[in-house]
Amino acid sequence: MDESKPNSVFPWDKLSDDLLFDIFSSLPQPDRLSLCLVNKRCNRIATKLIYRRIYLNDSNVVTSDFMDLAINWTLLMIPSYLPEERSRLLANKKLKGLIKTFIRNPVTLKNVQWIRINWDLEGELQKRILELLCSEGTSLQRLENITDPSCNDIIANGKVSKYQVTSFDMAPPNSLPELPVPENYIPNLKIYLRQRISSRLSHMTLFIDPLKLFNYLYLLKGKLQIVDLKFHWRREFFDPIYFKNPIRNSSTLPPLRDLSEIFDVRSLKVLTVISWNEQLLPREVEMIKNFKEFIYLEDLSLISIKQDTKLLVPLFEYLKNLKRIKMDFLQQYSPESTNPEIFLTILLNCNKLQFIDMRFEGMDLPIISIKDRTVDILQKCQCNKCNHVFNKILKEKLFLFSEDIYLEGDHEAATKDIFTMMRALSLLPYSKACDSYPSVRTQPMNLHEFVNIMNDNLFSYRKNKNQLVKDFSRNIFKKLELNDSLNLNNDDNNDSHTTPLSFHNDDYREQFNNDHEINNDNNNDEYTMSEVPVNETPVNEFTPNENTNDDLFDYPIYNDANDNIHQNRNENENAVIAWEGGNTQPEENGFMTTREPSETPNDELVETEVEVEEDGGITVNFEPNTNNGTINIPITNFSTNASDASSGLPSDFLGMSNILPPYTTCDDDGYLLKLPHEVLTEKDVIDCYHALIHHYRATYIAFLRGFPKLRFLMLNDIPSVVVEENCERIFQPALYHADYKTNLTGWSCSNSNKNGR
Amino acid sequence: MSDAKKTQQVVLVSGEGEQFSVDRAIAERSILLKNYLNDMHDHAASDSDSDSDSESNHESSTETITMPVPNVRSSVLGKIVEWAEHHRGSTFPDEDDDDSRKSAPVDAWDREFLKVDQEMLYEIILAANYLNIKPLLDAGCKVVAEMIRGRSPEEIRRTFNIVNDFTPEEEAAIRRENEWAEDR
Repeated sequence: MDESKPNSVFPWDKLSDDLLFDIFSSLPQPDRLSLCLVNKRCNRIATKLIYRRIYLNDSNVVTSDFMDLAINWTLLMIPSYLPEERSRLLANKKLKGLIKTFIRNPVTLKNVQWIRINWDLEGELQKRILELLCSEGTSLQRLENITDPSCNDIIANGKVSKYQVTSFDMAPPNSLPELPVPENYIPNLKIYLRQRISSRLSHMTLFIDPLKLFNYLYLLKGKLQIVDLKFHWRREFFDPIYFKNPIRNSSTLPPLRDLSEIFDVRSLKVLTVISWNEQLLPREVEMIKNFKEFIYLEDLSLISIKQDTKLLVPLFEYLKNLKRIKMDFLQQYSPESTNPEIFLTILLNCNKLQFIDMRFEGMDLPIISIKDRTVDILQKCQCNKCNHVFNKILKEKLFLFSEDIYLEGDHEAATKDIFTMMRALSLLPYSKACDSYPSVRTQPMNLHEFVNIMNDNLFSYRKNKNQLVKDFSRNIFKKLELNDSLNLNNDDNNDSHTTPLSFHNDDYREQFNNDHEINNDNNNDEYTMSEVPVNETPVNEFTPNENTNDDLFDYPIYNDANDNIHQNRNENENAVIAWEGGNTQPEENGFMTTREPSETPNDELVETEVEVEEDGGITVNFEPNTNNGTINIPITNFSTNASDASSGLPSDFLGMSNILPPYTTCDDDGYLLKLPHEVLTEKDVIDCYHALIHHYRATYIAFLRGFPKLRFLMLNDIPSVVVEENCERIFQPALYHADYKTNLTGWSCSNSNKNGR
Repeated sequence: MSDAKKTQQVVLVSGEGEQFSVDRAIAERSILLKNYLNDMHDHAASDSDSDSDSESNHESSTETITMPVPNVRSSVLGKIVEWAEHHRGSTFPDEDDDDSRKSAPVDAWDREFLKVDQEMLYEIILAANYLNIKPLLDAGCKVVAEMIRGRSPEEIRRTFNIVNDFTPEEEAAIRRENEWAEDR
């Protein structure tokens, strides 16, 4: 090594390309993009990284404030709270851009090694990108998630893919199971099998029982050296005619009976099963028994599968080499905690595990449990922060009144069980492997919207229970008299079903600005400047999409099923934005104040810009969120049936919502009715989430103790990473870390058991 | 590895000839040294044992092995020994598990440990690379990466004294090219 003068600048030029590559690969996508522009050398290296692995997502991917999750993927950046259609529109536009780049600069195309396709995106674009990659992508190795059989030819005949692609995906006949199978499906599959099956294959995805496949459709010459195997267990109505005459039925070619006769036991490292059925079929049970032979398995994922303890316990006794495990058990379509017997078997047998994703509530009972329609709250951690959560958030907000612990319907659980809602509403994302695969949200959501939904539900619940409190200092009639100038009447308002939203709101805003000399320009700029591809219409001329107005009026605040809540939310996200504007924070006087989005610590807030612009989210600007003072907006019209039980918002939404402070309504005499407590805040949700992690201390310690190599744990959908603090392994949450303080410190000394270190 | 082998002493000799006496387990944090040591062990065991991972305990285990590391200066070798001593009991992601290696947050102790002048940081990275100590290399790379994170291209150039060799047209073309991956 050369002796060099001390230097305050890192000697970048002296580093080899390989080391520079190592450094760049420790950085997430945005920084890699910046590096492309630094100079030619950086560009060459960073480009290699950016195009190496591409994930074509069509919804938001969650980022961590603590670590770089899924760092090796380049993905499509989609805002967190965008309804499905629009998020796809945006993803398609980005995909188009990627295709253009591939054509314009073939260097980018030649860097792609692995791409994950997403068939919810535009079919033609998917085929186009496949064609390019399969014919010119000289580094191409792996095509993941090919689910359209019409792409088989592209892959089988591609100049590059023909020889190089090591993955074989059997595209299913339809995206959903149990639909009519096109006549030519099986004949085409047979051709594709002949074209593609080779000893080179290392990755395989099947939508058919491999025994059927290789006993009837394709004659296997030798065992497949598959490393990574994925089964979709679902029913398909293939024509039985293809499964009458086995191709193997002689003594020289005996029928295959075991998975291990098809897949080389020594090669198989990764096995994924995705079950589409509520129950395990007999043949599936058989296969699970077969898995035992694959003792070199390092990575097992059982997804949406029915938990069968008797079947799984013996399996884990054999799979001692597992490094990664994901268990996603479903019981009647809802997530189920891992049976303690299975947990113990894994604990005793699989001590090489580095990654675990499971639900397990066998050691610590949940904070909120519901029995006989009565809520039981359990506090295990007594730290100051947890005390705050239990005393100030749970007891003074969600369960303020003694009657709040009784649930009259499932929707009431959705109102008050904030912990379950974190999962149900996708505040916590879904991931195949949270550490290394992008974690996508299965529905649009972010912290800001989560708080809104919880508050909507809470407000609606309190209103129905007549628990809102009257504010005698605030009468809307009195204000009204002073503000004839706004000149809006009930007639206007009754028309609002058919009147464009923008009309009202522009009108309001103008008046508001004139009367109160509040300058909303900054806010306007912020929203109108954001570049939304789909609609470039200036804000003022924007017409809201068709269903907006109608939907506003039957906006259901809570529903029997969680996904309904979500769905309605989506449809009404215009309304939501109009209602909330900024990030609301209660002040001492009980009125809402709003912070500007830019001031909120949650970076996801910014993302509402997109929706706002597209929908002429002028309504947002009408919210006095540029003022940090209390809202004191004159009310000119309202309807006294504001407490319409079907809606948590005042029923006269367009007229009132912009004018009443959030989460208030008024009574017949015009007095403001508000929540008997402060609204939930983003900080409350984060505090609850942190308390949830503290609550499972005993479980976390069991994991640390039992799995000395554990690096990443997804426990009950909460991802956390193992770090060393003062020579002790502890967990830190990977999402919404904020200023999380662990309660695990000292766990390794507190017991004689030394397994943990 | 047997206990005797673990506690067997290895003397690492720096470029300047300075000696660092460490347990064999510490030296074996370096895959390069580990392979050397195993080769020597095999050699010593000659015909009796061809498996380098053998648990068999030879007389040689009690002997001290001297291992020159001529490419590494004393000050750097000292740091590396310090690092390995600290991480004696640590577990790290598998070497071939690139996803885990890259995504793991920098260890808090490593972060402090790598608060050295830039030249030293550079030399530690080089030595970790040469000696094949992946966890230390990763930590070093992440610390350098932190100097890049969140910065604009111009800020990165300033930080590392890099000259922009793009024409404005080239720059614009790159921006267009990567626009699909941008967060907008």
